[in-house]
Amino acid sequence: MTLAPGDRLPDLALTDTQGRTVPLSALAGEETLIIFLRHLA
Amino acid sequence: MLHHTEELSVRVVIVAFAKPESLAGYQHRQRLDQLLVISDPERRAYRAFDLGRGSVLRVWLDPRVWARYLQLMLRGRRPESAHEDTLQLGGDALIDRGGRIAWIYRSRGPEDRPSVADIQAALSDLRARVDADG
Repeated sequence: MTLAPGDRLPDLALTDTQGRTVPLSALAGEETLIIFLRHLA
Repeated sequence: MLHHTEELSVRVVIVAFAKPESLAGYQHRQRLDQLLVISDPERRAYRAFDLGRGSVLRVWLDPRVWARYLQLMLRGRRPESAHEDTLQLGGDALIDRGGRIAWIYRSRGPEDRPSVADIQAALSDLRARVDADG
């Protein structure tokens, strides 16, 4: 699966820094900029 | 970009592939407590967005990368030692209210990130399309 403009965010379940599950698809509802970091430096 | 997010009239979410416990400290040190920061240690989202890995040559030996590190250090940033895959590249994606991807920027090297102006232009395009669609 390679996402492209026009695709919906998938239901990938990730984790926030408090340990809560955050499905990527749950970011819908508000214009959002996702910044994918490289390693922490 | 991380420290210019207040210039954008859009919610900003950070995704990193460090484990949540490492990421929590980073979030605090970088004063990102007001943002949602998400951990993706298996890099499933990175793969889904097709964010690639750079070569050792491109990531560590390219003068553009060292110029960028120097620029950051002159601004007071001190690089931390990396515990994750240093070859993994990042990127940026703009999502509309409906949860659809409007724009993706895939970095070609560590220093290759969109400017605030690039992101604002992508936001303007998105809003123009929304307005046109009624």
